[in-house]
Amino acid sequence: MEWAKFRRYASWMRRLSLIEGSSVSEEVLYLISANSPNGIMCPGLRNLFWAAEPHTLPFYRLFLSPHLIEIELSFRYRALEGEVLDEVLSDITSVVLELENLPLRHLYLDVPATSPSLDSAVSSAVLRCRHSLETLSVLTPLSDAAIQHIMRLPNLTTWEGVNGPAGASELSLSGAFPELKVLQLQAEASLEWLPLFGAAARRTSSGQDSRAPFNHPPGQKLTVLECWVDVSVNAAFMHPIMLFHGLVELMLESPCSSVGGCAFSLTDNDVAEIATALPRLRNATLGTPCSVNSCRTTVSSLAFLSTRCKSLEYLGLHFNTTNLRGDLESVSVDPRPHGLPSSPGRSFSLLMANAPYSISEEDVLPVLTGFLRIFPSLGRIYGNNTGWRELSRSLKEV
Amino acid sequence: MPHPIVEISELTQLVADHLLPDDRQSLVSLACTCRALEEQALSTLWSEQGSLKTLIKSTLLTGVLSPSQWLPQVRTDGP
Repeated sequence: MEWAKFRRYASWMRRLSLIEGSSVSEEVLYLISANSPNGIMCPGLRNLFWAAEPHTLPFYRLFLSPHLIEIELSFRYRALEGEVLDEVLSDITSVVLELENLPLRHLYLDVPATSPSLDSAVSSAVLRCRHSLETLSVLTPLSDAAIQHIMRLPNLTTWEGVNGPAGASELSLSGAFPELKVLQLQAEASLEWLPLFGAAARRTSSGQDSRAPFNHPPGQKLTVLECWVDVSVNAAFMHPIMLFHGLVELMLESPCSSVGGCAFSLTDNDVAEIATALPRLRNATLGTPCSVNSCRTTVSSLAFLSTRCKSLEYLGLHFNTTNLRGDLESVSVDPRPHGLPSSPGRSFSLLMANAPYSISEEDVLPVLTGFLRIFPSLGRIYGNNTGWRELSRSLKEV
Repeated sequence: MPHPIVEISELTQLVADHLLPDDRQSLVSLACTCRALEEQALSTLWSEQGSLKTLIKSTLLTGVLSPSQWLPQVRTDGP
């Protein structure tokens, strides 16, 4: 009676989230497995978000409904090693191998390490699901072969990875990522992918690659680019990014602590070029504002972005705040209506994070006036120290 | 006899979907309203779950399992 009720309720499940610490004991999972038809607990499940634990992984078949279109599998036990890790990777490989037969549209895989067999399983799953996959996020290094498969997925709109194709040339990017709209690059991946994209775009625009249907640059439909890097961000790094003219959202996180000084090497002129190249930006994070305050970008960069990216609603820019009041008073802003419109229905937010700033009472109004001259619809200033908080509070009163 | 309108599954599904996920208690109430609405309301109520615990508590704890059985006994290095 109880099992009939259990199976009835389980058959109604379509979306299941199993977060860490919410799992049940092995004993119960074993019982459920033994009392579920074909060993599948939720036969109608379509979306599974599973933060697996060592004792739950072996029971993966319970959750693999034939109707799954979305699976997010994460395993966050990073300290594992030796035989235990091998066993976990083996279980994860088994899960991935089972995915081959599912009509998957969205696959997220976040595991602590990889192995040749896991790598091969991911490649195989990608190949089998190649016509349905729209989102793929694999936070473990993949082989060149796996990446070559991913580049050719016909319907892939979102791709997140941690490494690029070693030894690949821009030629291999011809016709790659035909539908890609969101690209998220972690760790070394930015340094490996972005130059390739740049070279491929230059090759296309110079007419060296005229073979239809490969005569368009890869990533031409890209609207969101997110990069997490631990190197210095300079003009050469930004150059390939500036070829994605349709970008609406650009997030470039480069924590200065990772390079032992200020990691942001752009100048105001560089930012002006970026703003010109990416006029559709709505959300932009350029660098991670830090406490060093030695970067060469100034308030002028804010003005360039304001006047050239007219849809801007959110901006986090690493710029020097040493002489903020003076810079704001002297900055040249293009006359309206060429700049960011003052729209009462839309609020602009400025993110200052850890940028150093202390403000005296008499500076508050001139500084706010300066910011409002650049961003007439400025609604919020986010910052982690008292100066920014004081400005944000005063902004509400203004 | 239930009102004919509750036998139109497309309509009752719309009502149930409207209540999920913000008002699960109302879905329970809807399921208790009449038999014609029970299946639709319950299936919507169970369609999104954040763990297995609710399912186990609602079904197996009455005769199959004891509370001490279903919590994890063994944990290795946590995240």
